[in-house]
Amino acid sequence: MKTFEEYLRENGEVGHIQSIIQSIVYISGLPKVKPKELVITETGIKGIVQGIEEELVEVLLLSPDKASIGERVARTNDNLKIPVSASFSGRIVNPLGEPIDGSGPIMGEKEERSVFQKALGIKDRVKISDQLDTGVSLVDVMIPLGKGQRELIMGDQKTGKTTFLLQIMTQQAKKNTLCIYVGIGKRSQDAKNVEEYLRKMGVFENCLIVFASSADPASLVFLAPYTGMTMAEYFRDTGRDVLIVLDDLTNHAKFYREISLLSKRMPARESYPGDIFHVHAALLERAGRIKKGDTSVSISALPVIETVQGDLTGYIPTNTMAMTDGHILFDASEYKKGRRPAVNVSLSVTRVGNQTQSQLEHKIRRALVERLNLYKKAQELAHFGFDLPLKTRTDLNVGERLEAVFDQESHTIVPKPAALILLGLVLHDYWASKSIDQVRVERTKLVEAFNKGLFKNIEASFSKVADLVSLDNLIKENEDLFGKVLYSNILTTSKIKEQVERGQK
Amino acid sequence: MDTSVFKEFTTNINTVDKLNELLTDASEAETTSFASSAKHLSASIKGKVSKKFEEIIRNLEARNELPKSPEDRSKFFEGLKEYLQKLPRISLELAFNPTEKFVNKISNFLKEGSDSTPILDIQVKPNILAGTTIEKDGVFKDYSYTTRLDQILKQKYSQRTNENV
Repeated sequence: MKTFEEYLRENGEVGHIQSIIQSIVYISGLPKVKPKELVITETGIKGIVQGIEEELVEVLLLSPDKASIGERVARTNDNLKIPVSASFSGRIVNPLGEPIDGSGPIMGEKEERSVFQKALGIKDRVKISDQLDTGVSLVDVMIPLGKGQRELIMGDQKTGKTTFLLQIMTQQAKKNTLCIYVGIGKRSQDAKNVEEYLRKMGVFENCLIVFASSADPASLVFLAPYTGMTMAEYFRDTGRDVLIVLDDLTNHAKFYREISLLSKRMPARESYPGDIFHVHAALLERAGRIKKGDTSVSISALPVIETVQGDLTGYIPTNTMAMTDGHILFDASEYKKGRRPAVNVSLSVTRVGNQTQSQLEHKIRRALVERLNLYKKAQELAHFGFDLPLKTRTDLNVGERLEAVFDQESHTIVPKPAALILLGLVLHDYWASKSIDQVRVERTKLVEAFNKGLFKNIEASFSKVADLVSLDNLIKENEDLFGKVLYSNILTTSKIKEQVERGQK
Repeated sequence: MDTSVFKEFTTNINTVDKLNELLTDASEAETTSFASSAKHLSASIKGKVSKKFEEIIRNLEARNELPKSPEDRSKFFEGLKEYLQKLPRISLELAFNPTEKFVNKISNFLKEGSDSTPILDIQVKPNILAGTTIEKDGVFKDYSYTTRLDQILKQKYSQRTNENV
């Protein structure tokens, strides 16, 4: 970047700082300055033009250095740009693209990209048809996501949202998707925890962290998601699918509110600025699936919203629900019951994920929805304490096993074929006579076996499986393999299954 | 407030230093307006302000153009200070310390075609070697010799590089 003197000579305009209010300064002069233009002070502090009044220009300073009254300011005649390149992968940077992980400068040739880009239009977009494997069986089967989808992750604090997001990032990074985690106004320890998790899972080299801590100036925190999205666009344009996590937009809204109130803008609902909807909508519109030659590439966005006591009717949550393609709700009551992930499936929505599922997945999901609803009703009946009929007991039995299958530890990634097999085993009552603990143990063994590649033949045959009956046949055909993994004969289990069926009759 | 009376104060005020002196005198006169009960302000401010300022105040008193009550006088001097702060300013960077005659010459040149004398904020910067930089209403023009020399040297260097290639 050029120096102040160079910009001064090049553009021939100068301003003087008249007043300073935290990160906001008011500058006289600069007669032809444009909105959102980058300006630079004598001491090298950069700022973005926020507003232009008759005699003064309002500028949001980016650097934590202090400006002084009377300091000269020059125009750059350009927008704020950040450096981007493939070398950013595996690094932690601040919203200005500067490395903050202590691993030295980012080497190699870099491209400069404007942070405030306009989203691509309709003609560049393609229908979302590929599923985004999350590695979390509950989501992959019940709330499927597509590549290019914007899915809101909502919930109270400490309900497991970040853990869930890290699981998705791990699964996608293993498939060579570039994963970007944007920490917005978080604690530095949170960024460290994210880095450690991704390194432990061996996928950090396919990830990038853009981080603005709560101690950074409000301007940098405001900029963080834009930087993340700009980097996502760069990697998308190189032909890679990208997953971007914005953690969290509630903080982003609060910092933007702070900036707007300091700028003496008229506050709207809950004192947020009137354009808060546009700010978030324009940001999220930059995600999506677009054409690239004969193929397509995508940026899938997972913005996070923190609610208070499960209140979904707040201003920011309702705004972001309106501008995304669905939401996954993390329920504090599910969390207290021990469910992990603590997702409330009945209140979660996916608007485009369904079109990415295969026929078999559709049928499994429909069967699961039915079984889970029956389970809920059976639970309500069980509270009364009287003797339950056989059908209700069966519904409880199946529901408990489904919950055991859906429960997933933070470091466990369940590939989708594994999830379908596990659910097939439950739906066909293979685990009907086993205890919940046994089910959990066998589930873990099966997932480990899948991750080691022992079930490659089954995965290869999935394309021929179109319904639950053929899934059952597939399981029976591979009973030896199941026996090797589980150290038990699955046919024995099927005999018990037949007994249960006879008992039901 | 009628600002035509203020123009009397600004005759021969053409630099920031002179302007600052005038502002100081105006502040002193404002303070004295309240502190003194004397009918004639010019008598109260004698010795505390410059002779020229004192003379202007005396002339205004003679023509009954200076307010009589302390509150009105205070408003008068507030208005004067506001008027002085809004005078057009031009910042100049020169490589040498200019004489009074030189400053007046520049001032008269800039006054042509304008209804008011701009206030010159002259800074001495020997590193520009010669020429000047001018800044007015946010517009910056660099006529310094250093910049011109830089351009010539860059041109020569790029020519030589091309020849070597």
